[in-house]
Amino acid sequence: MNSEPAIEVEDLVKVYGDRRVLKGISFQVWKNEVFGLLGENGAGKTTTLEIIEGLRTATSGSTRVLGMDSQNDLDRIKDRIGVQLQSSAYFEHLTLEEILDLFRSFYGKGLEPHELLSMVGMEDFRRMRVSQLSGGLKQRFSIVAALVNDPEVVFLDEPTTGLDPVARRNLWELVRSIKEQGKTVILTSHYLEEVEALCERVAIIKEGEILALDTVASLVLRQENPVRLDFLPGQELSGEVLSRLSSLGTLKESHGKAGEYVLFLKDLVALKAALRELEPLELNRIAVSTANLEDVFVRLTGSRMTGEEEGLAWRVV
Amino acid sequence: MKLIKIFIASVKMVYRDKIALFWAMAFPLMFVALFGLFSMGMTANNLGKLAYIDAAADELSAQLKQAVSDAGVFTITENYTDPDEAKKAMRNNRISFVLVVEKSQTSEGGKTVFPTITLYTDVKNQNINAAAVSFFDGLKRQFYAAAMIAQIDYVLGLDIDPQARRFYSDFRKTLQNAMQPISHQEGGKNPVTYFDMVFVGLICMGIMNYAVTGFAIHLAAMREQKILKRLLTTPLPIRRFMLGEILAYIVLAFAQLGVMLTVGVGMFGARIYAGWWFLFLLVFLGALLFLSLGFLLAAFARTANAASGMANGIAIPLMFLGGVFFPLEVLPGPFYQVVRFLPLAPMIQAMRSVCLEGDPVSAQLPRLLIMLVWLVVVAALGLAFFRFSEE
Repeated sequence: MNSEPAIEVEDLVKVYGDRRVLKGISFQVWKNEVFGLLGENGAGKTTTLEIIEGLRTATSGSTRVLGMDSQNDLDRIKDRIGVQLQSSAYFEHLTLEEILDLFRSFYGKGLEPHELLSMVGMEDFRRMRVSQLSGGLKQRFSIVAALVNDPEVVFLDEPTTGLDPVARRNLWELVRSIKEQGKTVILTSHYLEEVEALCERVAIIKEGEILALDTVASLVLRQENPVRLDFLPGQELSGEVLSRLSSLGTLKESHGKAGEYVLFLKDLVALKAALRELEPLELNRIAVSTANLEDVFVRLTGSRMTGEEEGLAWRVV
Repeated sequence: MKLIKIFIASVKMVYRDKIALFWAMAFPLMFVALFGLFSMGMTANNLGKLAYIDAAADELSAQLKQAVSDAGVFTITENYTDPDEAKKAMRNNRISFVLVVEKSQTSEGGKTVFPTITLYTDVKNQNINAAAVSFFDGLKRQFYAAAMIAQIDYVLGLDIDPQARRFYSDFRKTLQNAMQPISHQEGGKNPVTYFDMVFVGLICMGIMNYAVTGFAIHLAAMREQKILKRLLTTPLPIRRFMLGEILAYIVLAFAQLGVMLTVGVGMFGARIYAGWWFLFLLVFLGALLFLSLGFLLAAFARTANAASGMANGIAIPLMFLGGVFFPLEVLPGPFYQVVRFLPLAPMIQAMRSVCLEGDPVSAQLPRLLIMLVWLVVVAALGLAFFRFSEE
């Protein structure tokens, strides 16, 4: 991986009144990387992005983009970045083509409207207004509009929020193709599977602090109990069995599915021991997997994500 | 280059925003059409329909009828012969006056005596009744004076004492002088109708409404939808964008003026006597002033809906207190001294003075100054309070 940083954030603090929104965040985004900021609403993701983009000023700390300071060199930075804002709209009375043409005129260089629209298969919509597009196409257009100046760094703030799963996966393809063009992408999300699918590295943010920052694989493997065993017993388990299973790892009751348990285990030895315990029991379902980002997230933040990821939610027994 | 693109895009946006366009074009035009039709209904100097019932039918009553008809003050109808029937028609608003001319009781020995005339008026028409009564009053005096002159002429035709002759001819001159109508002129240089006056007010109202309401809603909507914030992420200086927008709105104000003039002057015959360049200057200055007022309102409106409410809350009082529908000077003194400093009032007053009454432009400098002060203050407040994004 290229070790040259595209974005450097150092000890970023943001205070609104007596509310500390960012409590000293530091991270770096490497060139041509897809970097994710994962956290719940209000964790400080958008504030972080907007300080880097120069839309807000930091209380203290510094941010640099492509080696230039966000405060002092903002005009030069703006030429080389593309920004998709969270739930932002575009001129409602202009066509897609006209909007792109107008935004293109703000930059010294860039791509023509038809190039951009054909890049994402939206050529047929060029005479339409944004309001005539579906939610997925709207988001797609808003990302394409961020590419109008052929930027080196692309900021995507919750690019798939509110979209259906198919539209979301379509946008993932778009994000991957942006990376393939050699651009750097920093995105925020509260969808774990999105971050898992797209990001090389992820920072987990809670209440203005970074709790963990690494590749998704390392975050999972670095866990104490990275092996996950899901099972659904046919009858109620006795207290004795439950306490023996608990002693092997971390036992939790599944939140989403009634009667189902999740057992986190250290290694294969522990897994075999657990399976022996379960052998005499009647089981309706059993699954063995590696712990995922959700598990990491819950362990770190002590809370579940907003329940939108079906089957990934559970609570501590 | 950038500015031209922004300008063209803004013009397109404004043109395609049909609701805003309605308020800019159709709304003031509705008023023009309304007042235009109203003014066409009443021809100048005509007091309405008069039922003439000639019960005398002699030489003098025929002359009287001719005189009333020549004056052109009434539209005369002779369809009625029965006074009661005519009065009933008057109550039903089919006619405005009933005039009954009868042979005088004092008539004697075949000699023609001026007939008795009775005017019946409708209590609903208080505004024109006094005018009609004084018209017939004057007419009657003229007839008596004419009759006296005829008698003097008869005497002067006789062989009389030279001293008596001098007395009679002096008396005749005095009577003739008395018969001369008083010389009457409108106060201003040009004949100005109520519609002319209202039309100028409506031009200014249209400019104000569109600039305040249209621009405030447009800006608040762009901020609400984070379009302005999105623009801040581009290298374009946001002031350049605002400049393009303001230019587009000013062009639209002139397009609006063009439509208003076409309909008001072209179709309904409103008159602009002088100072076309001054009218354009006032529209330009007014558009700038009210655009900056829209900008200031948008600074305090969180949403487009709020901006719409605030803009109407300001524009409607300004419309009434600016003297769109009546000359402000009729207001009581202290009240007038306050109201004439509001932003719309000097624009309308200056335009009426120069374009209708033909006053010199130099006399309007105080009014232009009031507008300039408003422009500077409002624009400065707008720049101080307007936020393009949340922070």
